[in-house]
Amino acid sequence: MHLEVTSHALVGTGDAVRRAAGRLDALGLPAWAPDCGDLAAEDAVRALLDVSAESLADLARELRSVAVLVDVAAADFARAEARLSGGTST
Amino acid sequence: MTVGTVVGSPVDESVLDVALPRGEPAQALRLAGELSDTADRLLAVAQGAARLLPVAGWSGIAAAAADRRLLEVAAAVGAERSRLQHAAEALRGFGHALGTAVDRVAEARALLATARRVQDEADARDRALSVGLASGQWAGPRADGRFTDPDAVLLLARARDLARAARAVADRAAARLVEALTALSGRRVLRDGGSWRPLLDVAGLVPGYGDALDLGSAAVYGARGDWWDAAVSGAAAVPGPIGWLAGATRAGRAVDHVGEVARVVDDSPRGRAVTAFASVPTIGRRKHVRLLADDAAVDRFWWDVLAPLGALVARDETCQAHDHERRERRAGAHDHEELTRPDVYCGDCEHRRRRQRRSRQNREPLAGQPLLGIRVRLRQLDHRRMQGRRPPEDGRDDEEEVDRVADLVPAVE
Repeated sequence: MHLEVTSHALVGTGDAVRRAAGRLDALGLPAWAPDCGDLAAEDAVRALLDVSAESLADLARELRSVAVLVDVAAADFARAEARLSGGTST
Repeated sequence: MTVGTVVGSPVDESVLDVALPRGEPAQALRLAGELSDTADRLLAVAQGAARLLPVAGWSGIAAAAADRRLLEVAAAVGAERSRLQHAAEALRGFGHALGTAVDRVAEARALLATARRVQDEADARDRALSVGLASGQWAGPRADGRFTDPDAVLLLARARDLARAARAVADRAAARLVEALTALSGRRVLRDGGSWRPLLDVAGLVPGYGDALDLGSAAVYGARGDWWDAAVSGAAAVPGPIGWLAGATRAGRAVDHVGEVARVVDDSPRGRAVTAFASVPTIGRRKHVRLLADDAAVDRFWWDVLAPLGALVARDETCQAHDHERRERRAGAHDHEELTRPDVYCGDCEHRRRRQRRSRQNREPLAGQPLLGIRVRLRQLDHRRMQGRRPPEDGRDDEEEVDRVADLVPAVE
């Protein structure tokens, strides 16, 4: 019997998703607005940076929740592995 | 291009009759570069997440849910990268335009300096004028500082034209930047401008008529439910020191607030979702707002991020359907126990399987489905196909479009 994907690989996937979330957190979006000589333009730059920062924080949180789902999937798959290899399902 | 702060001298501005543009083009270009770098790093994150996407082949509800969420998040990361890239382009355009304006201001200043020198030389040739100007008692043609030499006047006119052109370029660039960034962020910052309220407050200090104005203001504030403002306006209507103090305090406070950020209007999808979510009464713990990537974002993500990665769903070596066919041809039967995975398919079989599943899903209610936008679009495309119509927005074949979008819908058991 040959398994293309193992539950161990799935655990690694969960970690990879967490690393991706960490990379989003550590992205270092610029937090300064240039001197545009125009107040409205500087406000617009700050607003865009704020929106992007909030969006990236949301996405990092989403990725962490995906990692939890992957962990659950890994547990599911470990049970399937045990069943296919003749072991007992837990 | 001149790089550096343009500090408009008030003297220059009064001579040139225009408020000279200010700003740091180099800073705008630097921020554009930083945003581009961030966008590139986001692309790497999105592609890294996309490489994990074949999770769809795993069995079980959790794996399918993880697959869907991962696709959504990766698409949203791709959309964020696109937003930052567009913002960087807008900032770059603004920086170059501001640099042009700065160059024109420098030219205008140089022309103004030349005009002054030419006029000084002309003044020096007129001995009576130079003596009179030196004594400070001169009341002749140069007493008000106006240029009189024809060459100096011509140079000054050119300098004014350049200064006005610089102002126009800077204003247009700033307006374009505000428009572009507001469209990208969905947020508008409103500052407290010189509204009619401070004027009314100042007018309220006039004895007699002012008291009537204060009473009117109090009524307006009261009607709007601004009870504190209504009370202060009412107090300002009281004759004597109490009224003066209240009115002056109120006017001073209003003037102090001019130019400050009054309100941020959030028209972004997230802002609208947060507002809508907050308006829904909930019992118990309130969950955070979760935004799904919209259809267009997933489309863009597919072409910009997934397609360059190559065959993401190529699973020929582990395709269940192909294994079945091969075994059927070889042994006339297939052994389920020997299958490597219970539900892994190659691209072709996966495609067929998804279309079958999609036709099943389309009969189900859509409410609560993830990737709702894609499913709705699929239904619309199917409907158009059944009606024999083509999509009006582009000339792409319906069948091709359905297939392309169908591939975006992850497997759901």
